[in-house]
Amino acid sequence: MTSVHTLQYVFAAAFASMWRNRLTTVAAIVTTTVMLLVFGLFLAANDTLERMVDALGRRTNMVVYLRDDASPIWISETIAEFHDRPDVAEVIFVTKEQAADDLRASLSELGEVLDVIGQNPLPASIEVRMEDPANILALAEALRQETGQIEEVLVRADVIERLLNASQLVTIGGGLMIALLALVALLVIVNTIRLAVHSRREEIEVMKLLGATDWFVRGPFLIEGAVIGLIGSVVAAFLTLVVYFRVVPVVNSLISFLPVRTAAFFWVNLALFIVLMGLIIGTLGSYFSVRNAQM
Amino acid sequence: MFSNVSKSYGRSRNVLEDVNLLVARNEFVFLIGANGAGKSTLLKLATLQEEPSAGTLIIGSQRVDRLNSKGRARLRRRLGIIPQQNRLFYDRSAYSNVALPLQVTGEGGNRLRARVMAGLDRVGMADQADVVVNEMSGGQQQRVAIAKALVNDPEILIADEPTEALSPSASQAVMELLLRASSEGITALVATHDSAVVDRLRRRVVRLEDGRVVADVPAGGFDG
Repeated sequence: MTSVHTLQYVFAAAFASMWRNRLTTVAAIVTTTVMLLVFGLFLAANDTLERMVDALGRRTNMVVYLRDDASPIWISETIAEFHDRPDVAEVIFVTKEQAADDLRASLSELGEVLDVIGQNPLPASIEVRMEDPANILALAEALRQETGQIEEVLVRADVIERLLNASQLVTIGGGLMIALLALVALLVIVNTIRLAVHSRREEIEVMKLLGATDWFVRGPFLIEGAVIGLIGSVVAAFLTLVVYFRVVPVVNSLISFLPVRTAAFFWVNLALFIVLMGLIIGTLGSYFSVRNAQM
Repeated sequence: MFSNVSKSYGRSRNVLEDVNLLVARNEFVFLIGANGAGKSTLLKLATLQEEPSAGTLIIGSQRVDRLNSKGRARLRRRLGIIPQQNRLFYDRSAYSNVALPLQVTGEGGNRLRARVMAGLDRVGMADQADVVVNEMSGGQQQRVAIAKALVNDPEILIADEPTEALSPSASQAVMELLLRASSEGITALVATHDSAVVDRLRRRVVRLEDGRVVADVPAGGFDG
């Protein structure tokens, strides 16, 4: 019973304090909401960017042009090796005849040149589509050593490098931004609770004089921080879902190539994650505020 | 018991200097002296708000001058404290104020209500339970402070200027309440400037000057 009464007191004291300092409390909730909303939308934007980089990377091909006298066994072994690599998404073998057909199909006038020449000058090739383009340059370099089999290896190196750089930038920059936003939300709560501790320092002193333990005094502040974080995050999560239902369809119709996630589970998970973050940030913020406070 | 207790803040001179004071169980002791004599500091040591710079402080059979936070909390639950200017929460009712010492121990529900009302009844304030302290007279506020100090049935009552700024009749009423508590078996240590009350009640009187005990007159006699 004792612990129930203590809990009742601690919760009542927390809500009474929030009500007494309602202006500060509302300001902290609004700030937390904004921070967590930006945090959530940034996560969604970061996910879209990563998917974009990923999609562009998958479209990048390496083309291995084969000598006319290349060994069929070597070709089949090389194709098999490509298939075995986890970073390769797709391997297509294009014969000389298919290359000529493709040329005729895409450039009908120039295609007639092939008939005039009377022979097919186009080489057979292996087109490689990478799942992860990180090792493509090393792979191309290794293939170029096979001079007996290979005429030329073409890699869109500049695009690949830019994609890799963009991918790294998105990952590092996104991570930093997310950490920064979480830190700002944490500091807002720390500051709010410190203000609450300061405004109630006399009350704290009196309670200590009556024999209140540290955690009896700190309890209401911890709950206050957690509640601010929770309310702020629930509002932010709600607004995130509004963005999903109202804004994402508009973005998708206007900019169709942007791979914004449209699956509801992604956005629901994101909303739940925001609530969890709010609760953690709120509790941690108030814990840091009261841990070293003179109580 | 204070044994060779000194207290200083930083490098300034000692606020208390080699104080020896033994208060027996159930004894009522007045602590007198001019402003700055060290009365409040001595009471702050007794209520563990300060630690002595030197010497030993024992309450009951327990050495208490170097307790940790949990130990201080446990000991304070055995004390009834009336701080200077009573330090009630003026925006709350008499009931809420008197309930606090019990709530910190986990008391709640009907038992809490019964004990708080009994505490208020003890000082004649049961009918004012729901009145906000801010709306009370100084004498009534001090009665509430006494009820708050006694509600947890303390072993020791420590009061710092409990009659300060009260009318003579209110002062007398407050002192009568403290004496009644003492007669019920509570040890009392009361700091006061009110020489009229001290003279009239003829209890043990300890006089402090410049942080030293300069006179310790037993109950019934005064030479100070």
